[in-house]
Amino acid sequence: MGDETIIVEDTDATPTDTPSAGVRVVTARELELTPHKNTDDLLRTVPGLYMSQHGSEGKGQQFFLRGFDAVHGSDISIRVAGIPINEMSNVHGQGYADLGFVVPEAVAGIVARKGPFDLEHGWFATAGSIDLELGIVENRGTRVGYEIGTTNRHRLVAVAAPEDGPAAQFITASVLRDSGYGENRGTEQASVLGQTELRTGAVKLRPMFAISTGTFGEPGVTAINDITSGFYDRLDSPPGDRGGETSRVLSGLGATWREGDDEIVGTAYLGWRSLRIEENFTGYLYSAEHGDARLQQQRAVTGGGHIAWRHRFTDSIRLLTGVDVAHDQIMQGEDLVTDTNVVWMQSRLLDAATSSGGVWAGLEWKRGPWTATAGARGDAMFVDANDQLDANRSGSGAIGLVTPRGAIAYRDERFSVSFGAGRGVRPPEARAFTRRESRENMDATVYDGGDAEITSATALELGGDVHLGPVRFGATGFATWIERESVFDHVSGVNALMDGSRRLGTELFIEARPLEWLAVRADATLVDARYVVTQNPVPGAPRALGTVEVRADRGPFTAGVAGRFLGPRPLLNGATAASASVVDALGTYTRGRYRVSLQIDNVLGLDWNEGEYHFASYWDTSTPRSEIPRVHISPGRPFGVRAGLTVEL
Amino acid sequence: MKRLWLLSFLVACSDSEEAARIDLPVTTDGTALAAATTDQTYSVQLDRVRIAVADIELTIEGEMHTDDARIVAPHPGHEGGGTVTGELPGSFILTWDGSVHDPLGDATLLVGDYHGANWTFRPADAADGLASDDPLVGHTFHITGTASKTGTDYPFDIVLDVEPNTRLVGAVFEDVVTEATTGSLGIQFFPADPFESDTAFDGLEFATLPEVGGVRQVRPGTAEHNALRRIIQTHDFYGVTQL
Repeated sequence: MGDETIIVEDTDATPTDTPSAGVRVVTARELELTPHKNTDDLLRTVPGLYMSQHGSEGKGQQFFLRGFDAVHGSDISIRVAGIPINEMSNVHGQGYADLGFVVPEAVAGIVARKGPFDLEHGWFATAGSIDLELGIVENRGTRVGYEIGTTNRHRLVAVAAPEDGPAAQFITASVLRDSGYGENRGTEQASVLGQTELRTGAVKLRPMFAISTGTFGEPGVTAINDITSGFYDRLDSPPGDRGGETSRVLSGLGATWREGDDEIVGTAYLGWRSLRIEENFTGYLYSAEHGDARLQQQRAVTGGGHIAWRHRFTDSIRLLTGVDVAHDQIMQGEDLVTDTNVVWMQSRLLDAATSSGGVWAGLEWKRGPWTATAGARGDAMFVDANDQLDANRSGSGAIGLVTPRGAIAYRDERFSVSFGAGRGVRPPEARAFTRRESRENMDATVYDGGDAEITSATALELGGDVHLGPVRFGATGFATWIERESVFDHVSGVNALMDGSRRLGTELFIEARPLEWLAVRADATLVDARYVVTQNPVPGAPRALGTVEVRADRGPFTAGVAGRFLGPRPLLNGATAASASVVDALGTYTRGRYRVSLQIDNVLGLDWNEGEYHFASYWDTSTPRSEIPRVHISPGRPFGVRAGLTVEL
Repeated sequence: MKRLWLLSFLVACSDSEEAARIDLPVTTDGTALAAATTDQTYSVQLDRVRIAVADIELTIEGEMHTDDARIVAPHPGHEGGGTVTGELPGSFILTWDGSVHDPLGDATLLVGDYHGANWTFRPADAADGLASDDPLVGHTFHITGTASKTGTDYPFDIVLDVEPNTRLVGAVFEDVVTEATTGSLGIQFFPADPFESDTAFDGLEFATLPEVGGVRQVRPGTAEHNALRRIIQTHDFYGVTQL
């Protein structure tokens, strides 16, 4: 927290150092000693972040942070090598963040900033932002690895990182096939990810590229009372063998220029993206004849850039300013399909262009142990949405918002305290700009919602930490308010304003290095998130999360154990999700050019539910149909073992 | 130490819990059949209203309370939809004639802050236990009463059809249901919209309706039928209340 560690030298993704308490920096070595099987798992090192997979590996995760249900990324800004990954107006969810293209071996560090205090993070940074740095910091050279697991997992990975090259220079490739646990949780993926670094005088360039494709099962979720009745097993896939396909081509260029009192850091990117998801969460509730399966498809071309300019006026004052621009050209469709995948109704076919941008300006002041930043950023978007099913519903619009942000911190070698304040912004999706014919011959604003709006979250944070010998511990309190939340209701097709909500919470951590080769870290996050009118809890948002991480690094042996506790979670309508405890472990042994690894998922072998939801479904058609919601679960990973062998060439 | 840590995790585990739910009988509340004055200045006094419906749903409001000017809520029930958390599945004849009727059945409801009710209109059939010559058989509405204007009474008999699977969404049901709630739920028909000034019979010129045996009639296939049907199938004229 508040750590100034720079993970990869001159990183493009972290050009500023906002002195807020909710910053967690995870180094490459820590990530290597964290049990994981993909890049998503590496994000579990972010304290207070809970991720739930209600599909299977390869589909984007559902994120919860600081009392937000960020769904697939609507409230967490995620960047890889400085490139924004949240997809504007994805058909499956606003801000959909799919990290499947990132080969985990190439993640050189994670910088998580909770809260909207950083000037450089615009859209989606309402609950926080996460930057993944790319690079191969240790064990450079050329190596290949093979992993086999108890879920019929086979993964082949190759890494080439010239030993005399900079950390940012590498190319990796991985091929994965995993049958998954239970029914229809398999995945097949192939990814190539590379980056290099070029230096010319004061200029440093980092071109990167990624090509990725994959498939994944979409097992849906299962009602608990369908499990207790024996109609389904907890690892069954009610919708059968439905699944998804994901592909991405991404290129980027990071640039850094430093001379005298000036520094410019920028990123430009261009990418193509395709996502196809077949899913059925409600069975035959809404269509007894066809079933409720739907097919969502999205194709997008996205390009943009980010330039930050910092100019030092005096020894203690710097100007922080910059601009973001992005253009998204998307096509999205949603069809209702039968059990045999025959389209029986088209519910959406939309072409949309979104041009968005942000500009920020502020000052940074540093004197002795004190650091402060203060400024504002403005974000705006223009959307042209063409409804291909009904041209009369096509629409366009422009919206924008200015948000202030700032933080101040005192830091010395033994003690730090900081205070942050700011507002984050979540954009509406393109479909929110379409028009809806008014019912009852009334003005459209009476019955049919209003214009699309930006949702903003105002946050405060106060925290600090103390170093006592090998022990460091700290606490942070935070509060977030959303006055009104603009939501596009896909069922009724209107923009609605949800009531305001507020989130109050605290994060505690302690970390120690009792032995030179042993590091221990524990953290706990407690949040009370509620709507202000009804005082109902924000559904799904964890009230209590805890993590204990132990990392050992001694000679040829390394080991990592991560235990995570998820407290009971409120669901809609007064239902409650179960608590869960999961312990994962890994160990490696290196000898010469060879390294063997063993990873164990869910060491304790406890049944746990990664996701829980409260809604109505109708699968057992031999029973009476009911629209009353019931608890559905997405089972968490069971006990499993993966063994790997890596050979340096 | 390690054992203690593992134990603390295990002890802290709890199971999923379904939302609390209760069953409440549902009936029709005939007390609401007051006289209404239409925009044509007829005073309409209803004798009996019968409607064939299916699958009654009860919805909670959720987290949308429209108290700003951007989305105006003329009365509760708009933003209909909501989340269905209560239901009484099956086919029913709703009857309002000023008398107390047996419950239609027991609805199951999750506890919560209720906001609306929905159902599907349907044609009545023999399975409803009606006599074969009952005017409601094969139709959805049967309404009888008397319209009065300038001292002249016009007894009327109205039969309406509704397109198959037409749903009524957002009848007013503003009530909090808790695990301690007792009594029953009464479905109401309002000849006059309690939130606006219109009535279900606005636009109907009773004096010019076809007369059979001294009774003015509205039957399917006429302009009056279509006009009246369009109005009376909206949620404005229905509600649910705890009795």
